[in-house]
Amino acid sequence: MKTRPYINPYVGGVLLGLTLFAAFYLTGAGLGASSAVNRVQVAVLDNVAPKAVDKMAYCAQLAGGDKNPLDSPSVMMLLGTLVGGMVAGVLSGRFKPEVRKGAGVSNGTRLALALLGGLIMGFGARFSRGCTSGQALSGGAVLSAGSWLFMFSVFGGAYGLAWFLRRFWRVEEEAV
Amino acid sequence: MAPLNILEALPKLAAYGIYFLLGISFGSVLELSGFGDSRKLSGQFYLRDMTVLKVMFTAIITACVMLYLGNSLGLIAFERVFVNHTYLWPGIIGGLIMGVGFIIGGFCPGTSIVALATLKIDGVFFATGVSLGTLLFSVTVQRFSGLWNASYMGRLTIPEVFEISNGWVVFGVVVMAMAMFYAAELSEQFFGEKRKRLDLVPISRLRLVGMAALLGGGLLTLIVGDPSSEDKWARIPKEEKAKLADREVYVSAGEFIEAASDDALYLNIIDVRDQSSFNLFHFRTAERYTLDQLHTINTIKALRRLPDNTVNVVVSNGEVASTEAYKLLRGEGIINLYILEGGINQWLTDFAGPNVGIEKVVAAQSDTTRDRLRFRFSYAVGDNYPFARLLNMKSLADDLTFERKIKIEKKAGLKGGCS
Repeated sequence: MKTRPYINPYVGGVLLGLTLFAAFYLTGAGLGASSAVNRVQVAVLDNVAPKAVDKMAYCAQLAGGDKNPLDSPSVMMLLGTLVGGMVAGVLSGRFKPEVRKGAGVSNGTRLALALLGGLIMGFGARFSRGCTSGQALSGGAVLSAGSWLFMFSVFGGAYGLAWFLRRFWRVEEEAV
Repeated sequence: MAPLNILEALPKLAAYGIYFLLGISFGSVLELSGFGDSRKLSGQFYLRDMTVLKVMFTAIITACVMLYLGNSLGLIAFERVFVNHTYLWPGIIGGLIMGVGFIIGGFCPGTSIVALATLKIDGVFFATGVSLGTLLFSVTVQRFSGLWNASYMGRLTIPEVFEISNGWVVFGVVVMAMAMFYAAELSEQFFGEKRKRLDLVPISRLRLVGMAALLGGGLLTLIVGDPSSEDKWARIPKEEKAKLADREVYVSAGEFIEAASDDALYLNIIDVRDQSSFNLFHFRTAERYTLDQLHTINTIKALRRLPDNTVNVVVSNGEVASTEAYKLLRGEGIINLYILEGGINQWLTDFAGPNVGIEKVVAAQSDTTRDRLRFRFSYAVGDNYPFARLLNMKSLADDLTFERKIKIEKKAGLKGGCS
């Protein structure tokens, strides 16, 4: 199947904004992803090492004793995000195994950096009590002061480091 | 009135279904906008592909205008909408950490889910990393819990920081976003993969319509103005209002004393009487506010900042002014709020006893409605009476029988969205 182009970013933005508004209107809160990822991870851990979960205060509030960490609306939203992304990908011809990376970067390097970046991101998301969706997007729309500072910090951190990592994100034509 | 809170209003399965559908919409829009592609996302930070900024800020201003305009028009009770609580330094530090992770890994948690869903292997590795990172946080959080809980400011919006109306900020944010979009268009022309001829007026009919709608919505929010505290009390749910009529929020003297000496609670006494009544007699640690001061955002901000275990008790001479203050503060979303039953008059009747310098005067008919002090004092000694110091009265409370009404409700900051 031929790959379809991405939609106009402003149209995408309006659609995302309407989804965000619907979430606030119906549930009183916005969109999010990282808390559900946390729940999934706690659930996995709870099966492997239930005693360890009960000991960590931060995890125990989700899965201590008999609590099921997956029984949560945020996990439902995560499942939906997964399915929605998959369906859109299939319909647009982008549902195929591949590694997206800068030119001249080996797959191994890209995957190692993805894992490392994810680890840093996961830690940061818990530290700031929300990820780019839960804090920046949802908090941004309700004009939360902390969320806006957070958002500028994310951009600041990424722009600050971007120049040093430019060789990992080169576009083809500049590659040697 | 919205927000509807479907988790309580609908059967669990239906509510979960709606969350699932919201997720579907979220995930598909992210994928269709190109957020499943780490190359596209990282392009943002090399100024060649500004999709992240365009999508994100269009979404933010769209939802922002709709929410705040709905609030002004009385269609949405914004005070019941979840606003991420502000923890100043944890937010800034966490944001910087996430920015670093973003440029190294090429995703953020939400977008990596979409990448994973379309079989992007780097997305799978990133999502695995996110999971390990959250685990690392869970294991280590106790070592820096001080920093993690520092600079807490509660629910705080930008209009509240600058003490200006919501409309100005909404309109300002829309204008700012438009300026950023303009810069983004030029930046893409300059640094983008497909270099185009410089177009200084990158405007199409669709863009004009969008701009007009958003600017118009922001302007309308500004013109209609913000709801008053009375409006906010008026739109509080019926069950909540019934608590006043059922006297569920009027605490007795015994419970008041007990709360003061309970180490697990922080008793915040809000005295809303006039200055002279306050000078004659007031509880130790009580703060005095006029009803007008309670309206100000500064007072509300200070009250929201108090810790989770705070019990707020409003005190007046009788119950008229304190009930007024209760409505006002409840309308502004202050929780764990109670009223001292019978006010200071009842208190002095019960505890002042045969005291030199204090004399009860017979109440005129109008006194109950005017919330007057029904005692005459020879000296104004404020909190220098033994029955003004609640901590000294613990043994007294042990002998009283009373119904316990205080139930500590957790602040919404701990649930919701992403946290």
